[in-house]
Amino acid sequence: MAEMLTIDCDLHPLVTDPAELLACMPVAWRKHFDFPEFLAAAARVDRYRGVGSPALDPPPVSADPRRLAAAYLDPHRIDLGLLVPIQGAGLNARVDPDATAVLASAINRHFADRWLDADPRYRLAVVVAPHDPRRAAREIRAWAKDPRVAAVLLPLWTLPMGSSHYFPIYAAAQAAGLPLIVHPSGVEGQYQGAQQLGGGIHRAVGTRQVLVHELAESSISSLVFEGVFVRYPELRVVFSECSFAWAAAFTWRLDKEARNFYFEMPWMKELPSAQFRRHVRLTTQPLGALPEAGLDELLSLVHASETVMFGSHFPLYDHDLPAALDRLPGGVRESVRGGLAASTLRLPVPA
Amino acid sequence: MTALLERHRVGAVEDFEIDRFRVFELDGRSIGVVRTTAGFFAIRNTCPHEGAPLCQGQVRGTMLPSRPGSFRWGREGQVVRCPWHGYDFYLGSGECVFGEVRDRAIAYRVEVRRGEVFVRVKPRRKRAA
Repeated sequence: MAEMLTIDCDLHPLVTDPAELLACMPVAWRKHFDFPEFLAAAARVDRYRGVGSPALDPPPVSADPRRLAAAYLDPHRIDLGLLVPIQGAGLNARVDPDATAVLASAINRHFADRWLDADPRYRLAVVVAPHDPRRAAREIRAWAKDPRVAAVLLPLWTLPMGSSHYFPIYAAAQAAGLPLIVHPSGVEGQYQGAQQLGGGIHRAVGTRQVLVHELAESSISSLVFEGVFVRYPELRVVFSECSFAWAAAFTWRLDKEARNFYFEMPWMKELPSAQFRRHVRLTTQPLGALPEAGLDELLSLVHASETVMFGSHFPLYDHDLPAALDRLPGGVRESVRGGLAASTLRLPVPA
Repeated sequence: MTALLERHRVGAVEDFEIDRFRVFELDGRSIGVVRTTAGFFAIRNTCPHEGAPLCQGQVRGTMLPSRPGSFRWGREGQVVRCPWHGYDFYLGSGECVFGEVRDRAIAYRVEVRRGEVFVRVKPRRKRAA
């Protein structure tokens, strides 16, 4: 029956009152953060769209689990919704490793307490600060005990994903059976020190949006060529909101360079495209980036039934609704709608 | 064709505050009427994107075509921004200013005669009881 589920891998609850995050911190840290600069900045910690965005202030349903369930889970018959705390996705742009780890932990505590109990359909991607990977690994191990935690949201650090910096995080995620979620936050290509996008810092927010899949390409190439999936054979990584059309040409090029440069990476036992199908997932948003014609072939070229999962980005303004999946051909539609997510996310079968 | 439209009186000109929608049930449809600095407009109170109450949105202008690196603001009072997702619609035509919404908001003709405001609505066919 898992094949018939509708699983949304990309829901965005938001913290709209920073005082709620303070309440999730130890007292001393609460005092550290409790000053007007932080409180003002925390309300805008969601820098997803950047300057020039038409997006509105956080939609009311984003801060209320029951309202979001009534507005979205119920009418669209969502069986499971993965909460991805997008305000945590930008933690990599902060410079204090300890404070950032405390903030990550507070975000996780907030959504676990306020949302997971509110509706059994919610699952949580816990966020970790990438600055101190051992501390991040401890955070993962602590949350792994909660069966409603289904993934780990990993803001990218200043090194490519193949770097040994991340290994403690990969080890902890693999041991817990939790896939990683890599999700754009708006810091990419917009702040000095954040991951660069091709060509440098782009003034146009549209360019930064178009290029967001570059970080998926960069990360996947690094993971594959540097042997991360050999070291961590159970690890899965989900790249959200990059769509997926680009993945066809990308995996062909990976295979070609793997053949060219075999002597540089003799640890690879499988072609990159095979590793891609085994270890990597992509979510669908934005579906508006897909062509009208040729969709069937495109889905086949990216092996969509093994690699593509539905993610709405609800309730942010450019979200997709599940009905938009109806134009996918029947065979792949069910796996995109939820079948693949059922085996990718950590979803323990209830006792 | 306009002779087939019914005329519904929605009030006097002075009943309308600038940029403040007033919503009426006209021939079974929820229609918002607004007076702006650009005149009177009437639009269906349903956003074509996901059905939001469009007339709870903000009346505004929009960016005009301009040279690279500069902005020009205009059409003040001719645009409504949907309260749910921020899509902008021209009040006169109902067309979406930008974005992925393919359908128009439904716009209705407004007439002002001797200080009275009327909305022209095509009557619905009466269904059998």
